[in-house]
Amino acid sequence: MFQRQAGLVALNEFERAVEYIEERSGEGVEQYQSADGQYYQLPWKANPVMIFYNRAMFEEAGLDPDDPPLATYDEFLDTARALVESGVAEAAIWPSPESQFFQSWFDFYPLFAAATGGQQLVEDGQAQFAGEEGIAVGQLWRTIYDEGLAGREAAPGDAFADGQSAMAIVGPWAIAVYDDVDWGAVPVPTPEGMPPEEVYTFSDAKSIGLYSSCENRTTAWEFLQFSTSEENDGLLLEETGQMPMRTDLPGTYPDYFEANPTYEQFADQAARMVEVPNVEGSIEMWQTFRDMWSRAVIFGEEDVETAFQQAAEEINGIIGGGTP
Amino acid sequence: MSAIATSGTTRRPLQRVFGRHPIGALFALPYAIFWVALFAWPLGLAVYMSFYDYFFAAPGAEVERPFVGLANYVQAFGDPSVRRAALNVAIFILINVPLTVALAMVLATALNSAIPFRTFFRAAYYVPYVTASVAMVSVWLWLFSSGGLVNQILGAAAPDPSWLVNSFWAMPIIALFATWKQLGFYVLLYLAALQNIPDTLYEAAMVDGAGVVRRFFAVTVPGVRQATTLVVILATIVGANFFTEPYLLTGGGGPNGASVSPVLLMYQEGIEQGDAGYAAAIGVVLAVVVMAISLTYRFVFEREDA
Repeated sequence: MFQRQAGLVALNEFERAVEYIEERSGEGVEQYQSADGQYYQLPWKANPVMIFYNRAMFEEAGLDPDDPPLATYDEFLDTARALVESGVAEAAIWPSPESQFFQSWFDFYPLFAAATGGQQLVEDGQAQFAGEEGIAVGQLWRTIYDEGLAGREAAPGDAFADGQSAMAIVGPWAIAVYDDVDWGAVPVPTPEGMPPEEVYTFSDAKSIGLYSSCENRTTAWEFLQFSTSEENDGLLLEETGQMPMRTDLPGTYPDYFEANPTYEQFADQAARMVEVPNVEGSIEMWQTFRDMWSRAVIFGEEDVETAFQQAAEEINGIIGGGTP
Repeated sequence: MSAIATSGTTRRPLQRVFGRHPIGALFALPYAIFWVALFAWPLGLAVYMSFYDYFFAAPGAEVERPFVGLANYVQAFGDPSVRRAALNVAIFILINVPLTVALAMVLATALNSAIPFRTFFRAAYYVPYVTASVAMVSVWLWLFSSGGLVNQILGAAAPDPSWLVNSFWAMPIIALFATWKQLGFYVLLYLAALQNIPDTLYEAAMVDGAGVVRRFFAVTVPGVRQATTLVVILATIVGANFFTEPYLLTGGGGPNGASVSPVLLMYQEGIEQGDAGYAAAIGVVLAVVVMAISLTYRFVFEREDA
């Protein structure tokens, strides 16, 4: 949208900018290119979404906190049922059920990315989510809502931090909020289970853009490079625990990961991330998806498969024709 | 104020334009500028935008915004979300306006009589009006969420799904919230109007043997009719613009758009999705409909006055 508004500078106009971006962030960085092949954003930091779980609650519910059964959809459901039935928490997991377009990045999308081995919601102008994998993700969440394992209403605060839910689906930025929780984290579940080192997820990444109103663009670009240098990326990691979009984090900052071993899995996960597709009409597309998700999955008013197929058709029209 | 001085035939040209005291125009100028800058100009711009594929652009950027004629309006009338939002406004107004008038009038009458802790109650009803909506919404979430106070009291009688995620109850709860939040202001309008009813009317009614209820309906209600017209029109205009409630109380117009409002839709389309021309078209339609309803009210109430 910023691009249409002529608000952002294509970074390609700077010397060696493309090399800088691609060398720093490595494989998968092409997800941040716009449709015209230009980089209007410098991928800055990522928050690979994983499943956080409350170790104490798992133990209380008779589940092994060191090896929680959360790898397959069946395991995930059984674990969720055990948690709620044992009464340790009001909900097994409580992603926001609200209607804003971006909320599906924190329920559907990480599981879809994992199930498909890293597919985006749309690719080559076609919706990808109405296939077997996408529908299975929808069915899983539908069961979770139907059985009352997740709240259909927004939690009053942070459900996981407040002890209202035993799991959360979120990136490592939230660790600071979970100070009082003895947590563990695992990759999101896949239909039949996968080794953690193969599981993809949603990046929840943040990029930096350069406004077209900027008068000293070269200086700004130099500052961008300075602030994303190896040293300053290291400072970001140290200060916030957020993952700079840089290749081989554990190898680049071995001291940090030695001191903070719990962060290693996020660094590892950061190597397999899917971004939201960079297409025109993106927000309208996600709002369409979210509205369908709300009807078919959260409130169970429509058949999941039919709803996914209808939304896919609608979204093919949106991204094909741009914003109306 | 003599009849001769107001006669148009003796006025000089300046007076003809600015009245008997041209300096009055100078005094009114700040408000006129305020009105033009914040009401007339944005309204004009919105009408203009609604005929274009308009989107906001970076300062100084040159972008093309093609003229699309009535396309945005055609889209708005065919959009199921807009129809749902229109229905929601209707539900909102049907609950909010009569309830506001009835409660505000009764409360103002009570607060106008000699009751204990009168000042406390007057302030208490006004507090929600001046408190930030966001804070008030938190209180209502605490009351009406699934595990909230209301459901705990109701026990098995609580609706399932709970109030704010129930497609039948979401709008009535929003209307109740807005009524409660705005009530203090309307009570104040009625309190002011009540001061204009001469005590002699009440005394005469008492002499005729009227009780409290009879005096309320025979003296108070007709006595504050002008205030009622104002309250009805204001409540409709303010009500038709509701946004905070569906945005915060029902998580973005949920469940499934059951509480989406036109202004929330405008926000989603214009700001989130960057389609400001379409949002402007929805806004223009809303403004025209609200204006039509307000004029109808005036027509009805003023005819009754005649």
